[in-house]
Amino acid sequence: MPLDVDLKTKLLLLAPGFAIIIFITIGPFVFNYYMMFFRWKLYDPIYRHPVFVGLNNFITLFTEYSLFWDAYVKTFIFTLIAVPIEFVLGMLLALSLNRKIPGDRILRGILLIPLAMAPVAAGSIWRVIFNPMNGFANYFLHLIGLPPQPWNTSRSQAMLTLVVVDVWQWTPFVGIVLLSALASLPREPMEAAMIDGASPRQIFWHVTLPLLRNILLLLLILRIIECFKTFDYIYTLTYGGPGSATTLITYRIYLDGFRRWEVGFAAAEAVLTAIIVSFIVVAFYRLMRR
Amino acid sequence: MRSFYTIASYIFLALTLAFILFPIYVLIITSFKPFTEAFSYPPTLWPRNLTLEAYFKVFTHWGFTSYLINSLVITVSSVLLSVIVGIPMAYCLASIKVGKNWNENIAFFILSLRLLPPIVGILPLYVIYSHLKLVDTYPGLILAYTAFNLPFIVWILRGFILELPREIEESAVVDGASVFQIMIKIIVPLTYPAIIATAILSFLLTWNEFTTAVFLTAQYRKTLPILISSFIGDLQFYWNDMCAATVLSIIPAIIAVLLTQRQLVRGLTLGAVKG
Repeated sequence: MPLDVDLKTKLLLLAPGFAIIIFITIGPFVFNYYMMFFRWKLYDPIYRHPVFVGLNNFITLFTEYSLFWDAYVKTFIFTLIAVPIEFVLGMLLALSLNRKIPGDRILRGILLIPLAMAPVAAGSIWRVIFNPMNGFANYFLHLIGLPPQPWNTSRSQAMLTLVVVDVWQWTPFVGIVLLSALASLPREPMEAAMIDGASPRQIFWHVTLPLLRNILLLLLILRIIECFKTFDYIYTLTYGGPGSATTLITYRIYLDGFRRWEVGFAAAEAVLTAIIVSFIVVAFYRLMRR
Repeated sequence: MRSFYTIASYIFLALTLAFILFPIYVLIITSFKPFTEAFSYPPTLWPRNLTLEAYFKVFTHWGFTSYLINSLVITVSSVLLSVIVGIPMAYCLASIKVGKNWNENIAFFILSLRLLPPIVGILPLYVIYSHLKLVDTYPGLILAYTAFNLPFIVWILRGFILELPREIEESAVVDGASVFQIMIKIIVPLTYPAIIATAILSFLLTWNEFTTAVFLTAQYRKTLPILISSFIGDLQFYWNDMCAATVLSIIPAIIAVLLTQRQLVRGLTLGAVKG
């Protein structure tokens, strides 16, 4: 039974934290809902002072500003390529490591290195590797007799380079989490299936995978949310380009808010994005509850 | 058949390891190359001229020390502040009845604030900060990072406190201990390892954070990730310097990860998988 104490004590415990959260997170978030009604351009001679425009920002977003929706398409493409690769490789990694192998402690230590690295650093190093002029990627292609590729400087391959960095940084994470989850599964269902003569493959698909369902869903939502936040790799590898080829949603809001300084317009974009992300989170939460 | 799976898994592990280690290898060797070699073709797999040039330049030319101090001050203060503020919150939401069904809902609400893309909140925060003259200041950045760490710390610590046996607290209440005495003399000592691990994980996330730092700083309070991002631009490619700065700044992060190996999985899956 939880303790019941007087209101003053509860407030003393909760208030300091809430004060900070309200000032930094909730306050600004609510401020978005005010800003979105204004034409407000920071450091602009005229629109430095906000001008009320009603729902104009949204009308622009829904009727003519296709770049915003294009950013969503790019975000979905990026997520749909990167996340499945991370899950397949991560699952294989977890299955390979889920037994006694020599030096597995060192292996796990190595797997943690990408997690320790700042995403900015990861993006920068891959940029060194992918550099079309003298990077290792083209050097290796040359060694096996293939022509050099433009990588992050081309419309068709820029997205691929972002995916590679994301896969590099997050596959080990998915693998380590699934490894922990595998280790904590009950042994009885698998032993029972084995006694009934099920093959390792059947056991994996019909026993192990269903037991991992909720962990997989949680990992999936964490990874999808992270894809929506993708910024550092873009900032270091492609600047959202060429053109808008790799402008994912966070980068789009950054371009509009912090490059063009159209903060009212960007606030409208932020509000729409918050709504879309909430829908995705709630959908997954429902799935996990089932 | 069994041996086929074993061999296949070893091959897979070897390839994965190569994929993971190659960029780290490139990072380390490039940091020891002189400028001209770092930019030559074909790239050398082992530096022809091993040199510490880049490491010296990072300090003498790029002002690594001031970025390091900023990163240390901001990260350590915000982690400390969020732990100090977070423990009472976590304790209250775990053990004290705030209202009917409120505990769970408040905890989840706080956590959900962390799920939104940071850019959604940073833009208005920037507008507010520029009015309050908090952009590019220590207090501004420390508060911002505290607010980002808090949901994480509260959620994880609450999970740990909920796992403690209730009898300990109940007998303390019977003995006439106040809420604050219980928190400081019973809860904190019992969850001490979890608090340390959560703090180190927050340290890691803050240390590597870029999006917030790049928008809320201008000149004086830039952190290490901003330094790392600034070596490669449209017209400049100081790859060896960038790699040297990265090697130096990743050391605390690697130590943090190795120290929290066991709690890392639990922390990063928000308590769902107990590592």
